[in-house]
Amino acid sequence: MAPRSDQEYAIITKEEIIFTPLVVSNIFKRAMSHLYFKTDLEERKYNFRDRCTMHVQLYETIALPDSVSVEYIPAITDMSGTGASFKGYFTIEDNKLKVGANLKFKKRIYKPDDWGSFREAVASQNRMANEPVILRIESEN
Amino acid sequence: MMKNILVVVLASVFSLGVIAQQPRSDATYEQIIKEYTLNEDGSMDFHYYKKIELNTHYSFNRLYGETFIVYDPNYQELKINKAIVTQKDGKVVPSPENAFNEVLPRFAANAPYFNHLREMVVTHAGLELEAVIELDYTIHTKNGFYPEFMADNLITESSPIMEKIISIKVPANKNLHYRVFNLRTGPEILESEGFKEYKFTFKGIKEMSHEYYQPHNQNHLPRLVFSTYNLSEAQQFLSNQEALNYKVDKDMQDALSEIKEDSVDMRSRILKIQKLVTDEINTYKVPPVYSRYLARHPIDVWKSNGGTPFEKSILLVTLFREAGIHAEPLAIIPTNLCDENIGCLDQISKYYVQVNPYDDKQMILSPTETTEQNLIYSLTGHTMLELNPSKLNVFANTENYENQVSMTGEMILDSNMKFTGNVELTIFEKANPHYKIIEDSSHVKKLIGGGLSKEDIKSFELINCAQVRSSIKYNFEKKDSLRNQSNYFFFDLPNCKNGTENWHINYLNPNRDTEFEIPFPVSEHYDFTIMLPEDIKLVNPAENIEVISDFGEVIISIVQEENAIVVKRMLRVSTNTVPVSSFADFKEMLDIWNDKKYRELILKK
Repeated sequence: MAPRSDQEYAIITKEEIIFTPLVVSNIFKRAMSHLYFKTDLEERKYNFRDRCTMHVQLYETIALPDSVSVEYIPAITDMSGTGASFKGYFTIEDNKLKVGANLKFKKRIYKPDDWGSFREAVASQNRMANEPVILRIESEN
Repeated sequence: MMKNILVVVLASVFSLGVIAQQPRSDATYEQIIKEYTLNEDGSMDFHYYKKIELNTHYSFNRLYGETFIVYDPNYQELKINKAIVTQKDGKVVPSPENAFNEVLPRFAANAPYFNHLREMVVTHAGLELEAVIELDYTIHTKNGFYPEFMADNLITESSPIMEKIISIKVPANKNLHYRVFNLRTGPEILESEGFKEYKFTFKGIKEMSHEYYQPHNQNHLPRLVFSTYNLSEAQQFLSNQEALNYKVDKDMQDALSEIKEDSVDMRSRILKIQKLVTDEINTYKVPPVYSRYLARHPIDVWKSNGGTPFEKSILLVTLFREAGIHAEPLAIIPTNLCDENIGCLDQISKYYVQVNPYDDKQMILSPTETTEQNLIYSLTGHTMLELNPSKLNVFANTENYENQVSMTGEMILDSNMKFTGNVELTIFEKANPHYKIIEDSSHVKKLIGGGLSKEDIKSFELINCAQVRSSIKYNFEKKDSLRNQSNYFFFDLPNCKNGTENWHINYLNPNRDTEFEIPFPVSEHYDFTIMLPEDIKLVNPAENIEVISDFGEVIISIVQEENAIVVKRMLRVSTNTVPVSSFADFKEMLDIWNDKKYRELILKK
C-alpha cells in the first residue's frame, strides 16, 4: 500500500487534528464478515452463523507532533461473553498514540444467547472506526 | 481453527535492497491450434490442440488440471486423440482410462430440455512444476445441427500464448465472412482439393488482465469472428423460427386475464406481464451454441416453466401480443463488434424485448430480470436487431445519456443539533428508477443516502414522474441529534443512491493496464445551504477544488458564510470508458469525489 501523506490521513486545522487510525478504520473489511452484521436487533430467537471463527488483532502506533493534547478518543470497554470478546485501548505515551484491539469471535454457528456479546464486540470495533480521534493543537503562547 | 487477522502498521520503513523477480505467469501456452472445417456434405469438424507448460502450483491445482469439453452426443462425436503430460525429467504420463469422465454441464442442471448435453472432463495426470500438458481432440458435428458455419474466437487466454493458429476450411464455392478485431492480422489463404483454407497465425499474445472494471463484453480484446452468414441472414434465421408464431394456450390466456384485472393502466399491465416471465419462469443459462441457436415454442416454454433468454424473450412477446400490446424480440450486439458482413450468432450478448404501447413511449425490457428503468438508457454502444421477418430493422444506439442527478436543499441545524429541512431531487434517464416509482411512489424514500435515511423523511411530493425525468421534494426531520465528540459534531452530506453511489467504486489502484469501463456516465450536482446556530463553526471547509479533464470535471466547495454553510459538489463524467492514458486523471477526480472529508461536515461548538 502506498504511504499516505498527512493531508490524506488527517484533517488538520490551526486548532485541531482529526483522524481515524488506519488499522481501526475497518480496512480489509471484506475479510471480516462479522462487520456486515446489522447490530440493531436486540435479541435473537434462532441460531445465526458467520463464515468462520475469527481472531482479529489490530495494532498501530502513531508518532504525534509536539504540542498536541487529546481532545477526544473513543470510549471503549473490554467485554467477554459466550459468543465473542473484545479488548481495546487508546493510549498516549512519549508523544505516541497507541491503538489496539483484540477481538475473538468464538463460533461459526452461534446460539441466540451468544448474540449479546457478538453484537457488543462488533459495535465496539465499529465505534473505533466511526469515531475519529481529535487532538488539540496547543497554541505557542 | 480460528482464523487470525493481524494488522500492524510499522513505523520503520525498510529500504528494499533486492528487487523481487517479476513473477512468471502461472502457465504458458506453447501452442494452441483450432481448426474449423465445413465439409461438402454440411457436416463440420473442429480440431483442437493445446500444449501448455505449468509454472506454478496454482496453475495445476486450480487452473489447468482438468479440461472441460461440452458437446451434444445426439449430433456430435467427440474423439480424444492425445492426452499426455510430459514431466520435467522427460517422463511421459498418458492420461489413464479413468481420467475421462462425462458429466452434465453445470448450466444444464435444472434445465430438463438440455439434460442430454454432456461435458467430458479430462483430468491431466502426473502434473508438477514445469510439466507440459498436451491435449488433442476432434468433434465431428452432423449436417443440420448448426444453421451455418460460424464462431467467435477470443484470441487471448488466461495465460500468455507463444503461438495460436486458427484455421477455417470451407468448400471453395462457399463464401466465408471473417474479421479480426483489435489486432492487425490477416489470413494466409490456401486452396486445395476443392477447399479454401484461411489460416491465421497469432504470436506472442499476452494473457488476459484480471483488473476490475474492464469492458464487460470483452470487446477491447483481440478476437476473430467468422461466419458463412452475413448479419441480415443471421437475423433472418432467428426471425423465421417457428417459435415466433406467438401462439398461446388457455393457461397463458388465464394468466393474462388475471393480470388485466389487477392492472390499473397499460404501463402497469406491461410491467406485470414482464414480472410474470422474469420471476415465475426459470432462466436456463445455456449458451446459444449448445441450444443450436433455436428456441422452443412459447407454449412449451410456458409448460416446462423455464427457457433460455432467447426463448423467454419470445414468450414475453407472445404474452404482450396476446394482451393486445405490440412487441418484438431484440437481439443485442456490442456495436464495435458488429459488422453487417458477418452474421455470427455467438456475438449476441443479450435478448431483450421492445414494447410499443399505442399510447406510450417505446420500452426496452429484459425477459430475465425486472429493471427499474427502460433499458434503452443502458444500451449506448449497442446494436439492436429486431427479430421480425417482415422488417429486419437494425438500430445502433449512439445516444450519450448524461444521467443527471441534481439535489438542492435548505437545511436548518437547531440549537439541539438536530437537522430539519427540505431537499429537492431531480434524476434523469438511467438514474431515474421510473418503473419502481410508478409501481410504488414511496420507493423515492430509498433514493436518499448519506446523512439522511428513509426514516428521517417526514413527507415527500412527487413533482414530476416521467420516463426521462423524475423530481421529488422531501421534507425531513432527523430524529437523533448529531453525534457529539467533545463538542465536535459530524454530519454526512445527503446524497442520491442512484448516481455515483451506485457505481460502488470506493478505491482505485494507481496502476492500470487496461481501459476502465465506467458503469454509466453521470452528471451529479449537490447544492445545499445549511443554517447554523450562532456559536457553531465549520471545521473542515474546502475552497474551490476543481479538476477538469477531457472526459469530465469535479468541483467541490464547502464554505461558511456567517451563520450558513454553502455546499457545492459536482461530478461530471461524460464517457463510458477511460483509456489507460487518461486513467491517472480519472483516478484523481474520483479520489477527490470519494474523499470522506469532502462528504462530511465537521462542526465545532
